Amino acid sequence: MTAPSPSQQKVTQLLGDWSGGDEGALEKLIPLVQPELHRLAHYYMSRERAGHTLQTTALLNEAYLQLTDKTQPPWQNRTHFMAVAAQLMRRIMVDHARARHALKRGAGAIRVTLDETALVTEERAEELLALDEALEKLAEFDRRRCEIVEMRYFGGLTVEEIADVLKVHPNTVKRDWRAAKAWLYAELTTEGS
Amino acid sequence: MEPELWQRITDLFDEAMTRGPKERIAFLEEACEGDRDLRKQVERLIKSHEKSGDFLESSAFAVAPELLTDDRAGASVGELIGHYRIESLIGIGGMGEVYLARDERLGRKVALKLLPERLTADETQLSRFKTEARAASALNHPNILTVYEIGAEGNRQFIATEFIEGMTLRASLACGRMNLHAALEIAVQVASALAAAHEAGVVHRDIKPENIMLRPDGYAKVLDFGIAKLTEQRPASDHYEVGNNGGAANATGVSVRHGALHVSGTGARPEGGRALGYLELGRSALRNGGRKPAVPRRDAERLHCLHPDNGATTFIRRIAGCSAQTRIHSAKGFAQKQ
Repeated sequence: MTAPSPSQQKVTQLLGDWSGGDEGALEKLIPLVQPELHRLAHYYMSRERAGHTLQTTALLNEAYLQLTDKTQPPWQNRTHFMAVAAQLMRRIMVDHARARHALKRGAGAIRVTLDETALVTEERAEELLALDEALEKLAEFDRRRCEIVEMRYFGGLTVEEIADVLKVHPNTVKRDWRAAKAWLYAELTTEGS
Repeated sequence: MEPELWQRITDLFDEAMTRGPKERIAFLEEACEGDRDLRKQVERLIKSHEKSGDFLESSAFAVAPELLTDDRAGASVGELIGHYRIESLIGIGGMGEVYLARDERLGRKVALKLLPERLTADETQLSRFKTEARAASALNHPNILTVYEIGAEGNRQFIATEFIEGMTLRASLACGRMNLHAALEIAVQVASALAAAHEAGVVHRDIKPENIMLRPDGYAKVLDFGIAKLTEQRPASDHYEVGNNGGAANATGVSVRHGALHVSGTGARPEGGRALGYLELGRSALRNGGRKPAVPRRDAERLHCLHPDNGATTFIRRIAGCSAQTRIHSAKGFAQKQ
């Protein structure tokens, strides 16, 4: 095994801090993890054109291998990295969505949209922001279900992996996911409720 | 919501979901003990569960990968890039962002395109793109967008071009019906631009409605010559490739397929032997026929039915046969034929 780079050591340490309850560690992790996620996302998107589907799990797995120090035992568990990465994914994607949204508003009326993909992105950005807001609301009275959605939707974790992280039975995860999804769906489709 | 209430709702929801629709009603009737509000909330959850379908079933990255890769160059209003002062954002596309800017030296409006970094990182590709964009711009053709400058500010590559008041063909088609004459008028102008470029050895490779600007005075301008050079190593989207590949190295055709009028052709050079470009037009004109045309020849017939007095349809019908013999053999030929 090759020796871990200073940045791998740093990421690993921050992951440890974060799992130990240091909320501030997440803020420090983002700038370290984000470039790698960007790079991988580009790579996966270019492969997608060749007929592959976009696999969040594969993306985060790769990020895990690139970013963490495998000589340190606590983070040998890739599932835990995935759980953290899910939160990072949410933050990064929501930040981008927000930036796009602000840009659109700041620019006033965009007279020409040059490309259909741009239109689609605007729409997705808005949807993602709405979902993020609904998740915030959900977290206020149900932290666990919010985390399940985060892990599954942003981190691409399977039910079994989520059960492993939360130390509950997979059936519990399935039920919680179902209720959370139903609540979010109602929240996002019903006006003013 | 109070966590305790939510807990009750989800418990009842989970219980109810283990039952069939009929038993569910009876179960809720009993379990809610006349608490109408509670029952309403559980029912709302069941209802949205039933309607939610594949909501959230694909991961965020699979649905919106561009929000993870987001690499907007992000100029801000008032910022100076080169000697261009950013005034407003005009649009965002896969090939970058376009701003309305003012050329501080010449005091004129320009459209400033900032290219995404992922497309300009490769030096070879970048230089090929520049060569083509310059070659096309040097043609000084009325239907080709004039490039003023290709430059860089730090890591950001930009292209300054003439600013066109107007809308893209895509936007125009989205606004509704376009009659055949208007469509052909545009097709002829675009073909003329492609022919001029073709003759100078420049192949567009990415002709699509987003890349054609329509001016209020009727001029059509082809944008983004050479820009496809930046993505050339990627597998091209077949969607915009039309028919005449293979041996007919210099063939250009017009066909009516999938409800759209296409102008297509192949590149003169072996390495660019795919489509010279393709123009999708007349979609709304065809749509008025009510049915989706299936094969080129039949489409042309249908078009003819819609516009029986239109001489142009004979022309389209002839070349829509897509055979090498009946097809006009260069974009220039097509433009002249009109």
